[in-house]
Amino acid sequence: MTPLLALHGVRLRYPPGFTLEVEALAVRPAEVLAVIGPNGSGKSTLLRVLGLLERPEAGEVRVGGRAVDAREALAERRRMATVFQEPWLADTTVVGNVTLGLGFRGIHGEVAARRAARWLERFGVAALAGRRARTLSGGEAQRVALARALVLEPGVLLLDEPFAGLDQPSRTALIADLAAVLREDRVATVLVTHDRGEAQALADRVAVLIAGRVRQLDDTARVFQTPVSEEVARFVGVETIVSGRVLSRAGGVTRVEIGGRTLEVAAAADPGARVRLAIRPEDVTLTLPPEQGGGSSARNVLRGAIARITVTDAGARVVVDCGFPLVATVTPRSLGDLGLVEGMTIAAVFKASAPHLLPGLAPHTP
Amino acid sequence: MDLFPLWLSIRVSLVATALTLALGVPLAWALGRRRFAGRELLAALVVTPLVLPPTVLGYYLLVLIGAPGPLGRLLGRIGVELAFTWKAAVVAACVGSLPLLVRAAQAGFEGVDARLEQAARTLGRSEWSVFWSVTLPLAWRAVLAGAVLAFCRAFGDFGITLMVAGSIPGRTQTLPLAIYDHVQANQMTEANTLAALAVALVVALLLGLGRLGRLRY
Repeated sequence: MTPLLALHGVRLRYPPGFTLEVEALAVRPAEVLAVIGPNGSGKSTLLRVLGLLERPEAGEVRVGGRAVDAREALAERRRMATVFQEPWLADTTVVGNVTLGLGFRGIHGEVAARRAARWLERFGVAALAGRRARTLSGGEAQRVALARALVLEPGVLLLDEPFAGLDQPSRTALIADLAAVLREDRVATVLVTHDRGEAQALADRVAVLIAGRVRQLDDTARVFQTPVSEEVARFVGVETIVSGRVLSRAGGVTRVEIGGRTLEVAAAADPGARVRLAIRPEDVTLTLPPEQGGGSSARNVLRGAIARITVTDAGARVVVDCGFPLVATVTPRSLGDLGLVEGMTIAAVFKASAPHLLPGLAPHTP
Repeated sequence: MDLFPLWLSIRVSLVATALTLALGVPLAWALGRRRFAGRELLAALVVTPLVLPPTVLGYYLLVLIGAPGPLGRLLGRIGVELAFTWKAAVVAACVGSLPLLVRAAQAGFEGVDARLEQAARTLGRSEWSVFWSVTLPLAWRAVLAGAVLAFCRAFGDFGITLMVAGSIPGRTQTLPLAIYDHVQANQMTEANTLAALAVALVVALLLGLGRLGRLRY
């Protein structure tokens, strides 16, 4: 399968003095590829290189397997469409904005108007067609910007933090609508975002970019469940990363000793090896401590005191001290039902399949 | 009295401003928007006319475009004679005006949000079209201000013009040179008249442009 758009050996400095280095990154037909990473990781620079807006100092951008040179950049750029964090609408009507790109491609009049109307409809803003762009709300403007990009029927859609400037309700609604459009039309898309939730909602594959380099590139679920390093794990939302020693391996269960506790882990490891375990907070549930203590063989039940509770919009983040700090997220309902307060003793429960073993730790004995 | 120096100065300044715009706007855009080898050197070269003594500039220009000079010989071969004609006064005015226009226009281009240009590119605009539809419309005030400065500098040039075009009455004697000559000859009425006309012209120009500048784009 020839990738639609690919980077090969690309190197480019970007302000303030970082270097983007991408050995290989390919956009496959019909996929949504998310590039996630913290601020300053070079995500936007990478997208500008893909969009032929910025030339790399070394390496090449390939379209359909062929390197693009400077003279072909405009023609190739006309087969792509881009939406940025700012909608950058022109000071004219909504429909005038959506037909703008079509005009530059020689499509005018009735045909252009019909195509524009169809896309405004799909993004739920058909009623705004006659409005001046400057009178729109942030969410409406970004819907118009997406319609303006997709009306071009681009070979590749490039999105640079398109939801970052929106309030929470507009954002959630727009992500759902865009997901529906992308699922239906199978438009190859590159989404650049610092928000891992957006990647989970939209992407088939995820590339994690940290300090200018792609640290992991894999199917979305795999990146989130089996990060390749501690940096990636932290960025994709793993909150508990602890070191321990493998005691034994038997019957598909690895017993690992951490902070005086023994955990049962499904992942394979050699006895005696030092390992690091990564546990996602949503995989840990909190219950009142069972009277008899201990759990079934498939589960880990750790008793510990609640060290800290931080309330968030989705519930609460609870740190339990069970020989090591274990982070769990709970819903607002469980927070109330269990009567969680700092200092109380609680049982933290997670499956043997929840912890992921991070690779790359040199085996040594203390 | 003879108003030839006034008409000559207006003509020289207008032609020089047009030439300076044609040369200076692309230069300012390149300096403000592009990264290329030798950019710093070019930026430094552009401003040298501001800091060099006009007679030094005029001298080198004369060496360059005079009949025995490298450019003078080349032009002579196609039958164009520059030195000591009104065209030399235009070249002199251009040299003095270029840095003023370039500096103003460059600041204008640098002030245009590059993300707007990028948005235009993603919609399929060519570089040429991005310049005319986005960059210039957003930077035109700065370019206009630069052009006004360039015109006034061209209108007032003395030293460079004297060196390359001379001060031939009725042929290359521009208004500043004519005023100097009248004062030297103690013809104060003529000097006063030309000086007052120069002040009136520049004030009228600035007032007119002030109005234009308030127009909404």
